[in-house]
Amino acid sequence: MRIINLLKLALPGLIVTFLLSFLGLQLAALYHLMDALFLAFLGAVILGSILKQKSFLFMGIGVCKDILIPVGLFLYGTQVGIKEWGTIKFDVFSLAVLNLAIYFVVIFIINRYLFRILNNRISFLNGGANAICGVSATAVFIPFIDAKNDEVTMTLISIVVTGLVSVFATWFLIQPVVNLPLQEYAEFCGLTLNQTGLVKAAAGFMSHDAVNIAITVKNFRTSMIIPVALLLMFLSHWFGGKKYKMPGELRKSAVIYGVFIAFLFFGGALLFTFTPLSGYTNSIKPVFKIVFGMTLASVGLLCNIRHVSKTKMILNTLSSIIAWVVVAIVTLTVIKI
Amino acid sequence: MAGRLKQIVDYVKAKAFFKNMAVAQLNMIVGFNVEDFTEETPDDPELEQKLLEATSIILRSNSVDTTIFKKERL
Repeated sequence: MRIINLLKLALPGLIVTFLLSFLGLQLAALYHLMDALFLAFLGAVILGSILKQKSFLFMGIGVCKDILIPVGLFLYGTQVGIKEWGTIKFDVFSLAVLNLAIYFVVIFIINRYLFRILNNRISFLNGGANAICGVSATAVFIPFIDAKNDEVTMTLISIVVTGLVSVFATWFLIQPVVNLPLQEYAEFCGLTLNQTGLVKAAAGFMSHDAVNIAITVKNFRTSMIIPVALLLMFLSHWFGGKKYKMPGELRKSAVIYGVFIAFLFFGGALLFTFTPLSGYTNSIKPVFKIVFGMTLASVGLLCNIRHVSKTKMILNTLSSIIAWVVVAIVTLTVIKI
Repeated sequence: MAGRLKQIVDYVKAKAFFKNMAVAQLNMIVGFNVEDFTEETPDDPELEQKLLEATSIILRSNSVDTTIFKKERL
């Protein structure tokens, strides 16, 4: 009875998130460079900023976050194809880790000492999300640092803007100047751009082969999601300031949750790479997109652009773009050498 | 004094298996987003009582031992 009542309460939120995810999938089908997950999220942010009353969505959003994020991560794992990581060169692995550190350090320093954004949680969330896989990473990081809706909104806006700026800069500014060959260009896309959809788009400007290489590199970056989530939690605890410290019990439950979702993610990845189930990877893809689209939509629905500080939002976005520029310069330099 | 409302929300998050669903239930009972509470949210005895009652329903306990909020941080 209790479960039926909960489901009844969750139904409006589940329907709205499903519709947003489905709509994203349909729109993405119209043009190959558009990403279903990104569109579902964008639609949710717009709706979340328009809606004045959201209480009818709370339970559905809760179900999406508690149940669909773990399920979505398992399904995400089924899509990463660990076997292909064998084709990645060692320096590309090292660059992925180095870029992660650059994103964190540059965004933290600029936000803290130049823009005077004193809430370090925004910087850590922004750095981690840009380094891993943008919006999806943000959705996973929220419980690890107990992020507030305005912090999430600021991070998500900076990811969207940085993503769009970087994808066009990569193809229309950087590539005409440096003229990278296919392999290097694909690695550059996979190493520097934040959203998987944008990696596909930027590599897709060159060729389908470039997309495959770029996505393999990007999938490796995505696999760092849980270690980075735990790193974020400790960074936020140690350097976040007294005001932002997470209570001990919450921190403990976040670690357990981290281990649990890491098990699901890598379980999905291993199961769908080394067993006969690997043949079903493509048939699972639409289900993955709908489920993960719903989780991203649930995060987006809680955002409200009107309620966040516009100055902070712009500055945070600016620091994220600067960090991408630094990452792009370092990556280009190493690739060219 | 401030921060007690956030402490109660943190308590629910720490104790519930499905944290977000539990917080959503709290939201529905009190009528607004309790996740907006921060350490600086001023204490409100009336709202606190309402939250504690909701917490005991959500965590399916007959009552919540309020002394834990006074004696120790979670």
